[in-house]
Amino acid sequence: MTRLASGDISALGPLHGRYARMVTSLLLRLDPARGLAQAEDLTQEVFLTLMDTAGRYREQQRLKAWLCGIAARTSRGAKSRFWRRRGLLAREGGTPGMAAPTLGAVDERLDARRKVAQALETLPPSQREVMILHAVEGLTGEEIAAALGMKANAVWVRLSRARATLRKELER
Amino acid sequence: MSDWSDEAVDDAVRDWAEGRAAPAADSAAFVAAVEARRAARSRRRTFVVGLVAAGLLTALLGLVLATSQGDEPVAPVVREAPAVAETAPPQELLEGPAGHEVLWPEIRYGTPTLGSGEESTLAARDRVVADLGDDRIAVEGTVGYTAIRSSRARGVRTVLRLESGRLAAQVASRAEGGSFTVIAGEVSVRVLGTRFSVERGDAETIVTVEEGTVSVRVGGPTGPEDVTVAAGQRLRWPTDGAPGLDSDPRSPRVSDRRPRPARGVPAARRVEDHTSTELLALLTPAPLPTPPAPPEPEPEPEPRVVPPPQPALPNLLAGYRAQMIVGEVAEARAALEALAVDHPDDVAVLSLLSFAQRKDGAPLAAAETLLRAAAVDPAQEGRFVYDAASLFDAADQPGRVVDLLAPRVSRQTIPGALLPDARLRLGRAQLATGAEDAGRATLEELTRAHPGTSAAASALALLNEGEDSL
Repeated sequence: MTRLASGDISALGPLHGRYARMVTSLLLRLDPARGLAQAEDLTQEVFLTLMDTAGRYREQQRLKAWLCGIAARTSRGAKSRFWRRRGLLAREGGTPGMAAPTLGAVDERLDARRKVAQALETLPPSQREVMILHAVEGLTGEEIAAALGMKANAVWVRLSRARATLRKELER
Repeated sequence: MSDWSDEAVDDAVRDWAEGRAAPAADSAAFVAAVEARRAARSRRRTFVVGLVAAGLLTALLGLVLATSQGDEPVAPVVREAPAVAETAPPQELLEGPAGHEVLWPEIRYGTPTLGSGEESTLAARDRVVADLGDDRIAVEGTVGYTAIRSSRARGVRTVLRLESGRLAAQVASRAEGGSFTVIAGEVSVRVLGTRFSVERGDAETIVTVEEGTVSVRVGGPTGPEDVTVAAGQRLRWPTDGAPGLDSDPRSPRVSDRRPRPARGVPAARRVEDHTSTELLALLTPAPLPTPPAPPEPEPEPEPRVVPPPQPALPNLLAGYRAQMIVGEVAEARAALEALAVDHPDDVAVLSLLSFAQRKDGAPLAAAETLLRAAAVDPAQEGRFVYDAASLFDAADQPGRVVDLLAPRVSRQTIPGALLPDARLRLGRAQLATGAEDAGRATLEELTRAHPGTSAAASALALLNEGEDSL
């Protein structure tokens, strides 16, 4: 990271190798409607931001958590840019009461996945971010707080709210 | 008391996330792209993010598996209009007097990841059913596709590239100028109005035709050959060998026909079962210009249902699915239980019955039904047993979990994707039944065999917990 801070772009290669897939996957998950191409595109932006802000990075933090923070901010920024540019109205979500029947109990995992996707879609962005960073990326509460710029307490409050919404949906 | 603890909710989110993971990408190309981007930015050019019609993933929120006869989906299917990418040279793909219209897939069922642009990619870890215009495809694997309708009503040109896995398609008849082609490596299949499947593995590529006729072009030893594959036949193209044409023993018309070799190639081997037939079964009839299918039977008030003739069974099941959509789960379950008495060996019936039992709040009955299905269908035994064990696990019956999972985990007859989770459940159940050593051994094996998975993380936590309490 010190090389990056001094403008040495060749340092990007190994960082990409280690973290790009995680960042792209995270971007895909933070916005359920996002496609792979947009996520890859935003990944480039994330690493660009990483380069620009490399000077501020402190050794004590986990680089992964730092990147997650950048990714979360980039993800939010991209979303509002998209809507502003396209001038589209908010999407209608699927009707929450509809549990689509599947081909059988073997596909209950798909059933649960779809419910999770549905529930995540309805969460406010900060709750969704906290949920994914905690459950999927395995960041600690302190790391999430630092990454998203909120107090540690706020992280737990949002996490429990997110879980409550998901639980309600999964119990249907 | 909820089934869903914090840990279970987190697990469900992790499971969902696995379906939304990015593939590996090339570092060198990435660095070059970032460099270019930085240069462009410093020259103060506006940076536009290219967007993707993969917003079709929102269609998942209102999914209904279409019932037969092309009934309208009950829930609204949401689709975002595709946006034009502006960072590359612009490709006008909007409908217009001299333009084309790109057909985007309408996902009917499943969790896909979609690529972008005029030539797109559909990748599915499990199975996905999607409509491309009037055609319907079922995919398990990775498919690249282009579907374009010319605005002069000259029919739809569709090209599908099967990168890996399996694809089944139901293709509508086309107007003059239209075409539907599937390319799988060296094999290309061109069709008009049929139902067929293509399966591409490491060892061979297989084309199975259910209805109609397709023309398959293969690279033969003396140059490309065109082989006609008719309904009830299957073409196998081994990667190191010559293609051979088999008759499908399941098709009643050709059950007593010996396999016929294609022109100039040696006789083929015996046809084996393939899950491509399951994929074909996923293609409930799309709205094709064909004679209407028989009407759906009404649900009987008495528990005993007269079994319908064989071809109408899928219609019946589709009807029960529809019943469950509108909330009549108990009625559908009762009808399915009666149906299962008359069709004790029908996996589709048992599968749907177990789903209904689960939905109706009877998870133990559902688990027993799954075990029946496992006994009937050895090919899916591992998966059915795993799902049954999951139900027993949630119902706090660790003894059953151990009985079911222990032999299959050690023989690894559980599908690979489910193995980490199966090991976790087994380990926990063994600990719960007092088999401390076995449980620890299972969990340790899990962390060794599947490092980095969430199941391994949970196993580590359990193992540490055990040590802490010592």
